[in-house]
Amino acid sequence: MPPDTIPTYYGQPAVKSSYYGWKVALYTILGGIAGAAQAIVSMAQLLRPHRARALRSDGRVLSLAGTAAGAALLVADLHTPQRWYHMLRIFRPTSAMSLGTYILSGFGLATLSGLWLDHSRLRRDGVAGRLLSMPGVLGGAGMGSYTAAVLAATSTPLWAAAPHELGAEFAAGAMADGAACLSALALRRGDYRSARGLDAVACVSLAAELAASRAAARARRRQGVDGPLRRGPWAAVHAAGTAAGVALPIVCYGLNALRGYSPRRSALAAAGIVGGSLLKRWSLFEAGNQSARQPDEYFRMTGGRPWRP
Amino acid sequence: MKVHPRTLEYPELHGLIPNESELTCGTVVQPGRSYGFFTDTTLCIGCKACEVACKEWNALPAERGGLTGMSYDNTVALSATTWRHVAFVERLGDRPTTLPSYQSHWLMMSDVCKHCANAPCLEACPTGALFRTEFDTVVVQQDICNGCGYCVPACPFGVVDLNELDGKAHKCTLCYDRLKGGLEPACAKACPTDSIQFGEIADLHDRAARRVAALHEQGRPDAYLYGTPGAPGATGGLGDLRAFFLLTERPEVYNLPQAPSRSARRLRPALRTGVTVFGALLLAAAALLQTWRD
Repeated sequence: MPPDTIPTYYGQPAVKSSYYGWKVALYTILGGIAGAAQAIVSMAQLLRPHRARALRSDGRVLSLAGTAAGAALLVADLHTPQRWYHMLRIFRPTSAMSLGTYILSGFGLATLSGLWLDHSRLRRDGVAGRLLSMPGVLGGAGMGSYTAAVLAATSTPLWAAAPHELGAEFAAGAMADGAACLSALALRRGDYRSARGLDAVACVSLAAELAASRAAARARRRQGVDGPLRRGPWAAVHAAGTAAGVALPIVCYGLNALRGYSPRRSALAAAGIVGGSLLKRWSLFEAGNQSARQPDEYFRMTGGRPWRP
Repeated sequence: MKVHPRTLEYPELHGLIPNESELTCGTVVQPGRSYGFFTDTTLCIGCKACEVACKEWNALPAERGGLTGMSYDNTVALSATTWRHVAFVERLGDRPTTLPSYQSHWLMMSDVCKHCANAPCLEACPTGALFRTEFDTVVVQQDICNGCGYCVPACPFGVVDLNELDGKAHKCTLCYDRLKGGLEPACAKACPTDSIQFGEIADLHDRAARRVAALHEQGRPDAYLYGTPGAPGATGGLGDLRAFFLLTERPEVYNLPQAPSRSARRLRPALRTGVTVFGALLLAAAALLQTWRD
């Protein structure tokens, strides 16, 4: 056998693949939308409370719906769902899952208390009202980022090979998704001015996501663990996600900038961003599971140097 | 045959012998000390007594019938219901004209949970179901586990797994219940060649080092330890493996990674970069949203 060929044990997997599929993948998108929408709106609230009123209710809808649906998906994904509250027994800082439990819980509480504040007598454009937006910003940052840490802190080659890049990709993706959803809701209200601003945010975030995604791909290729995202069915789904979620919206935004603003193109871009994100995330999950079942991928990641006893 | 002198105190068996492990393996099990397995693959004859003893003691069901064609390995892998697995590696085609002093070119290894010093499954568990026992081993508490499955991809050795029937994670407990009762773990007790040795970690490390030296002297320079401090397997912040191995081929041959790492060490990089990028984009958003001015 050539010295650079790493042997395997009858091609049997060396690590177990996760049980996470579309439910958790969908949660990471919904959680990201909820977090980013809330963070953007809270930021607007901090800076310009008098202009942010309508936007604030959009953000509230997205973060409430995303948190509720996301938590339901996570509980449904447990194999003993009636014990979901065991997640709250302890706090384990080495577990991204435990960290995420408290980020999600804290974010949910912040969103609910924000809802209560909106209907209270407190003037949201006063100093106190502005400061009360801070938890939304912090919780949103956590929601948009921690799911990348959940994947990175595993032994699954495709997820573990590029932790920094994965964190950047998820965070930028969440911002793009959140801005796109807020833009679509603003369009429904006929608030084109807000929609145009949010489109710009989505466009910048998409550029950052694309850069992070390319950097992640390079890091994986360097370690020889990018197989399932380069070949096979999940590579095709991922490519379709990139076409719908990056190429299409950038064309739409480009045309909007060059030929004048069209709400229809803006809505198409928003749909493309969210749809593309779903495809990209789903294929990342499934390709990751596939990479865990390929011992050569894992052995390359875990220092499969030519062996000297 | 050497018999422990205490054995003579029990001509007849009327019940549990106190500290029985002292009679069967010369080790008294006491809380607060570290215990583990030293699996010497050069002594393994592939009888699978360990697999059977494990299944019997832990009341684990059989998985499936059928032949895999992978030498004599029809167990295939560790799983939620298989906590010892004997790997069979037949080196056909490179049989030398003179046979080595043992095992011909047929490698066998009884694989098991490594009970890592810094166990990634335990570090990943969000419910506290996975815990470190008073014997310094790692065990899943079945009444706590909610089947989130995060320990499964966290393990760098592919050991712990979910059972879809009961919805909980399962793996080797290093016979936690037997240790509490002063008994040697079932697999080690059943092993007829002492390929699996149970004992206190420091003691096992000494024994293993002596065995490697002896093998080197017998003309087997390829013998080495996997999972002892500083050796392959005990890498990437995992600390030493409480179940460690003596191997004669590179680790991948036995389906073991050369330099595995602690999964949790990737948490902070991902989170830190994620939050930084999120914050930067949020500031960009704030700047962009300033432009919608009246």
